[in-house]
Amino acid sequence: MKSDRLVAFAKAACLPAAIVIVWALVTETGSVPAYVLPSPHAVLATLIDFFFGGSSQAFSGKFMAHFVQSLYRVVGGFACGAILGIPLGIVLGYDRKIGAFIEPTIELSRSIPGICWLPLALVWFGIGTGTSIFLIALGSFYSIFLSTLGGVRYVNPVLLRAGRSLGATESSLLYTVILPAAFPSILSGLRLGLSYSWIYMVLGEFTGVNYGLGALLLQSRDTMDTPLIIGLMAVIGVLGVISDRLMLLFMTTILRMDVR
Amino acid sequence: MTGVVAANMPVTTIPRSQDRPAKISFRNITKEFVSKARGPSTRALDGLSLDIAEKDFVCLIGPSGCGKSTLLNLIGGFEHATSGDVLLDGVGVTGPGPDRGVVFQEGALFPWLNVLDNVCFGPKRLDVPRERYLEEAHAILEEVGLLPFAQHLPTELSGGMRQRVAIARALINHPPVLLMDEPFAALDPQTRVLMQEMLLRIWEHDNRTVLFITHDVEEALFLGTRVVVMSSRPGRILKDVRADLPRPRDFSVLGHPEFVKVKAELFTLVREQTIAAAADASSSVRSVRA
Repeated sequence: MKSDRLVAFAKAACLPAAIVIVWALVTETGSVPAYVLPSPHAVLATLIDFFFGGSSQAFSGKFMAHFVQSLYRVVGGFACGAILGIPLGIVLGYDRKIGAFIEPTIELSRSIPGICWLPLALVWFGIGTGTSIFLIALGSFYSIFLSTLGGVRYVNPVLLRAGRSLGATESSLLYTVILPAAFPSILSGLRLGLSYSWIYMVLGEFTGVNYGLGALLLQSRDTMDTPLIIGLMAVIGVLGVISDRLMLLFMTTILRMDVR
Repeated sequence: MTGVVAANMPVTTIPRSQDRPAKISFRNITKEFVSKARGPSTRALDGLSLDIAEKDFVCLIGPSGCGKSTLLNLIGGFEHATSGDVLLDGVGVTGPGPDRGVVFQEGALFPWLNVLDNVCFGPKRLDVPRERYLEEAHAILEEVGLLPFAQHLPTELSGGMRQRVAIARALINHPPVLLMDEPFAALDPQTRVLMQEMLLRIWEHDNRTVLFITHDVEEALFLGTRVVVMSSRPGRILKDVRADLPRPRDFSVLGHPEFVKVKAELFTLVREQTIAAAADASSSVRSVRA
């Protein structure tokens, strides 16, 4: 059991290890200039400096300051997307008559790429947190809404028949059968929405705010600090994975949702 | 059943008149399905009438697509007849309800609930006091041999166990009528026989009215007090036989010469209908192509 997981981990680690080795080889030998692709240990050193401080660089030891700002925007925007997307998905999934009025509009607006909203968001909310939260809410809303709607609308009809024949009324069917049956869909929508939240966080912070991981990413391009660019990319990726795992844990243990 | 019938003629064609009142009545039922994709409607049932007396165990057999599941869906309240009356105790059926327990082919257990909570789903909806339904759930899980699995999720059970939960879940509401739509069709033959014996044991104990859909002639004869054979589509009733084999029954009845003889007769009848259905299907395919 345990050795199985170890083997799986070793298999998964093969490709990243190979990439790092090739990366180290081409950078340490000097065949690629350091400003184009810095060496792995230069990136690592920058990250250690970013997390724990130790140099006179502006970003030195400032991880928490940037992270807290980004987290605030991700959580705020994602919460807005979920608060809008879940109830709307439930209502429109449950009642096709209401859906007929609203769904086509949402479908149409969905075909506008999220990035196109950026200029308008800047006009409406100005540079900073407002724009970021708006973009994140927008980006996470569609996947949360659509997954919820699909989960509610396409509940296995035989489960509805079973519920009715066991004595559930039409109204109690919603929370005794439809919502529990739709839970896995809603969860996968939330996970997808959260990953979009990190993407749109970076986009929102590219507008020129002072603090935030995305903001720092843009600043490090201006200073041509390639080690920091690569380090931040890795940090944002890892944070995405961690937040996904945390949500999964929350859903399965606290809400006792059946994830399958 | 009379002693003479039981000894010499275990299976006879039953007279139309019944000594017990009809629990379920299908009166001149026509059911058409309109296919959006293919235009013309399909007539699944055409003027079918059938009375099921109280405490009858009626097994409905017939070729695939003959409308036997449709009949069950009509009395279950899941579908509505195009014309004709579907009556339960003389009153028209308008929708599903806990007075008709249903066991579906694939069990249709709620995958997010464990075995105990699946069984307790009905009484909770019907506001049965908690102490009472928990006690009943334990008794009924004991009866179907699943008490040790009360906390398991449906995905952790075998197909046979899932169907036992489905039966327990339907029975806990004490429905006067039990509707079963090929409940054992997906099980392996050994498990199926055990499930049939379990179902008979329960039925012989409480004698509720059962409508049991199957395509297995042997299963129908083994379980039923009455076996009704339907024609290929549009479904009509071809034969209606009383299965008066001695009770309580177990698998040893399968070797009874009379059982074997009637089983062969019914099998031939269903086979003819299946061939007719296949011929009908291929000719309609030809006419579409032409």
